[in-house]
Amino acid sequence: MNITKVEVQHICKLAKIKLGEEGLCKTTAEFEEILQHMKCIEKFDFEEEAMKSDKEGMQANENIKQTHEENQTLRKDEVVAFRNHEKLFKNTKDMKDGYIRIPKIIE
Amino acid sequence: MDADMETVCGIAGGVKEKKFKAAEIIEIYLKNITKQETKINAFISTRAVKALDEAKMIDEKIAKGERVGRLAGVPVGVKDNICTEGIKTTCASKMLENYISPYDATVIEKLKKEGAIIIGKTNMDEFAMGSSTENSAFKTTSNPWNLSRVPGGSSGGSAAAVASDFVPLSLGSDTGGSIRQPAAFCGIVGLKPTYGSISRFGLVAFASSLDQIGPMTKNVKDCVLSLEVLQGNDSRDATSSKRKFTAKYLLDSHDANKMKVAIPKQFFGDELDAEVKNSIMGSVERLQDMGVKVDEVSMPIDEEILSAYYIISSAEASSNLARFDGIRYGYRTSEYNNVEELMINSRTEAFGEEVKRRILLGTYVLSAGYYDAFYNKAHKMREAIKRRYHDIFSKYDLILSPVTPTVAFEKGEKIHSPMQMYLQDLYTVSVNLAGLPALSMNCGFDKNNLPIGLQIIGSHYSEEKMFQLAYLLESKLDLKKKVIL
Repeated sequence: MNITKVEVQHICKLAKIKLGEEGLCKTTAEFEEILQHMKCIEKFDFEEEAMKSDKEGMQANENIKQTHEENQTLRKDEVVAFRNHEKLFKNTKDMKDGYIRIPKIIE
Repeated sequence: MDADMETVCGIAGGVKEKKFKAAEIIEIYLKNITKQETKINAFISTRAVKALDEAKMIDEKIAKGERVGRLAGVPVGVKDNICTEGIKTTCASKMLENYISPYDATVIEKLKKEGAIIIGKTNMDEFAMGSSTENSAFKTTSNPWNLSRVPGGSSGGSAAAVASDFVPLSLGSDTGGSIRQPAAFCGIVGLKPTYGSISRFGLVAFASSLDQIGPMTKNVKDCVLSLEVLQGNDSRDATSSKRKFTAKYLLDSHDANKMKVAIPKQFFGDELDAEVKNSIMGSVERLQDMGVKVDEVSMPIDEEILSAYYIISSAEASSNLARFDGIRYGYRTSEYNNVEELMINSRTEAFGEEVKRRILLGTYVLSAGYYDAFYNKAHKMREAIKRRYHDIFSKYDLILSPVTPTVAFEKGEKIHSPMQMYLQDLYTVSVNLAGLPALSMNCGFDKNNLPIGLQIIGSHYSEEKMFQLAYLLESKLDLKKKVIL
């Protein structure tokens, strides 16, 4: 697996993170090592693995999955207003008239 | 300190029976913190005055004959990624250095309702990413058994606080071993419950399909009581289970000695330290002496599992941590010309190295061209792991294994090699991928007097069996060694 600095740079752009030249070299080298390990997953034979598990086990696994899903239900999507604005906006850096201030987007 | 004052059950019982006052308890623990915290660095923040006031209120209630909760007067340390109203929740990150949560996590509401008293927020690896607590943006926690060693991570502050007698109970979170590994390194009990048992509402998300909050205590009974308080359905967490949970896990009569236990041989490979192996096998023999049936089984824990874990957890982290944009809350850079720069500079300046690494790794495995090769394969692997575990649990009650390949390592030993650090999680991550419960407990010490941990893994919602076996083993081992600071 060869990962290039250009690829890492592209990922940085997607993730909105900046790495300096030194950081870029270091991260590329680290990724090389990590991805080398992760690559083993590509070679793994999932079909063979599934064959190994007996049918009974597969069925029981399905049952577990079902119980799990039955246990988890979605609530109604109802809006619950969080009224304590003072507490909520205590963590906001720049506010004006109840709005968060950011740099101009449209000239 | 009186023996009753050392444990959760002892304190809760003693306060209710008026053997001692809640305020007395808080004063004792605060004194321990004042005396030793500079050596340990377990806390990011403490709240002495408010904790004492709350304790006095409990004492007043008792004096008036009013009802108090199951954890009345119990001092608690809370990992700093669990939201606490009015108290800073930093996730040990510069990003949230000044963040004060406007609400309590469900687990905090539950603790307060039962009379527990939050004494402070504990140190951790930034956003729970790490295995040594060295990734904290603020301080490095020391292992109370040997100050030059790490306490483990990411819930290292929580583990060190319990082992140092700063609190008898702390909360941690476990995404790939972050409760169990520090519990093992600090010689205490740590539980990662079945996924869905404890509400995650108010836990700052790292990898939502793997994260689970759990208690860290000095003994099994305390862990049981804590789970009984913390568990239950919560409409604010769609993944929390609706099932009827066991109300009392430890009954006087149980048949733990009739259980069938599996020992997966692959968990005892070359990477496992010989002393750790011997100690665990010693415990296994003790269990056999009591009638527990133990068989060696095959349960591959290949590199693929660790890879699947790091692919899934990083992918989820990259998505979860996208919310930190420097706009609504959290760190905001002072240097920017437009919104794009504001976001990029804020994230770049405030996230630590490991957090950036995981975000980038997650972005990479989710990006076009790599999604199928990594992310989809990792999910297939996850299903395969569930099946492997299920095959074992169709024949056995529980699995016994090590928690970590070694005892606590030296500070600085692995911090410069991400891959070395990731290998720490070899025996713990598969449990999170399968959503299973697992408990880590002390089973002995190595020649340098460092604690050795043992892991008990159960099938979904089999905490009762796990506790029974853990309690049986704990009583038999009767380890009395204590930290001397």
